[in-house]
Amino acid sequence: MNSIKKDFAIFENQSIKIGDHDGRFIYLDSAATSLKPNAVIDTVKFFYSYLGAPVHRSSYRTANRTTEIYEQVRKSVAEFINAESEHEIVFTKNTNEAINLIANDLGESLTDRDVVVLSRMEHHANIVPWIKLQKKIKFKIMWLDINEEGRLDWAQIPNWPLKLSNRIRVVSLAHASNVLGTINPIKDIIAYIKGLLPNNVITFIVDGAQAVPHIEVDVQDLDCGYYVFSGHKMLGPSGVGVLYAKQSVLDLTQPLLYGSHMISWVTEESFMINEDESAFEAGTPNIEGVLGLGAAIDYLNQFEMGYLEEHDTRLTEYALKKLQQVGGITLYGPSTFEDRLGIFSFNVDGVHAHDTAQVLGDMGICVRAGHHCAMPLMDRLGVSSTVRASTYLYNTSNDIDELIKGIEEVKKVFKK
Amino acid sequence: MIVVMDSLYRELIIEHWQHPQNSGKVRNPTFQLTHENKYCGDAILVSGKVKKDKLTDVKFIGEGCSVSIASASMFTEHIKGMAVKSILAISQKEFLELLGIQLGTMRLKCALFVYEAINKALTNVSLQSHNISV
Repeated sequence: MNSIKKDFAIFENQSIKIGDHDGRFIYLDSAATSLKPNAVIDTVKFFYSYLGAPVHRSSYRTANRTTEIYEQVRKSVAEFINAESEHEIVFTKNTNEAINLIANDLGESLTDRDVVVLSRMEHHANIVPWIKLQKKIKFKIMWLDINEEGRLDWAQIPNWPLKLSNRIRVVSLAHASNVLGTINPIKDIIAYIKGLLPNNVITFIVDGAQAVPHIEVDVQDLDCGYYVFSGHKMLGPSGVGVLYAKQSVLDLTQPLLYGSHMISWVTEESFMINEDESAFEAGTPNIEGVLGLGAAIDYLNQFEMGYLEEHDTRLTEYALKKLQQVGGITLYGPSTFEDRLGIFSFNVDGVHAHDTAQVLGDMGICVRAGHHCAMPLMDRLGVSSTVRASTYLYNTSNDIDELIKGIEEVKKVFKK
Repeated sequence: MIVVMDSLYRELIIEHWQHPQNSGKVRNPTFQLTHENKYCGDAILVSGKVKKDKLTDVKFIGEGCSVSIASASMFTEHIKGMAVKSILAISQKEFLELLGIQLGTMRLKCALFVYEAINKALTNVSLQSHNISV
């Protein structure tokens, strides 16, 4: 077991043979959710064992301490993505909720003359809220296409009719694709569109769910209005996500949920909402989730700058080479490791993705099969589903070798 | 814990998947129905003939995983020649016992796909034969 795997109790626990489980555990599903290091599990347990108090309300010792740690995590998150201040950080349930919050707000000002730009590689979380809104407001959605390499074909933007591009009000794009692994040049795209349409007031939204766990994100450098991501894909507990909004943008954003904590005062006739980030955190939040996310960030921060990206790149390069050598499979996404995450979508020729995943699963190789919440992308690729193997910091080249052996087994079982 | 497919039955599935029985479309069918599962991208077209409340012929054209194809093959084999009433009386539990394969919760819907399609088609037939329009 490598040193990073030792930090994750699940690897040892799953190595115990029990029932029909033979102790093999090759986890390649981190794009769905990451495993959690002991530090995160301990923190969640610590909260309930030692603190157990609410945040922002009571003034006894454990309550104060809980609030301090909770707010400290807000600072950690801000530093982690280089936000200007922690007041630009809102804790949400996940990426999906954060995008709903933004879409709900924009729903107040968008009109049927406006254009919203999405890409064909978006996750349903960054598609459905917009289509839902479009049904009411009738704005136009422009879809940025992908090229044969699975990279965003943003050179097409100047070819769009001027009467449409002049009406672009929202650009909402994934920082990295959860199916293809492509890392999009978000900074360049934002700068390019801003330069092309200097008179438009455009809201730039970046879905960072796949990117934040893997690459250094600097929201100020990207110059986006909103940047959203989930905690559970970056070693944190599930049920907590982050909405970053540039202060000037957050000041004009409306909350999605109304109720407790987010208000300054309430009478029988009216109420006034808070003027800071707390306006977006109605109700008792996911305290253990936020604390756990803080522990996850601390865990990630202990590695030397660039170490994790280097590990990612090397493993991606290795996996790509191996997968390209295996015959009888179709691999999707960029064929080179530059600007690419360790997310590998493929199909064994003539075998349904669910069948491949089942055989791999029987061998203790954990991958996902399906449309990966990206049905428009599946349509674009001309498939109904793919198998997806995805890596994270605890994976090694040995895990990739096991995957390759698994694929050979699939071919044998299905006589391909 | 994922329930794994027993390797013995896996052979049976592969056999039916590679050589599905009743594959195709019945000529001059008295019923036909397309059943889709957009979620997995599976689709099945079942067609058949009902004479005197008996299913005299049934075929399917399917796109899907090995479990859904093999289930369609095995199930159509089983029900051919049976009275419509008896086919509709087959419970989900009995259907799964009939297939004799152990499936995890995620794969159950693959197996049940043909069961749903046949049930839908024959329910229509049965309603029509009693002059109940649907």
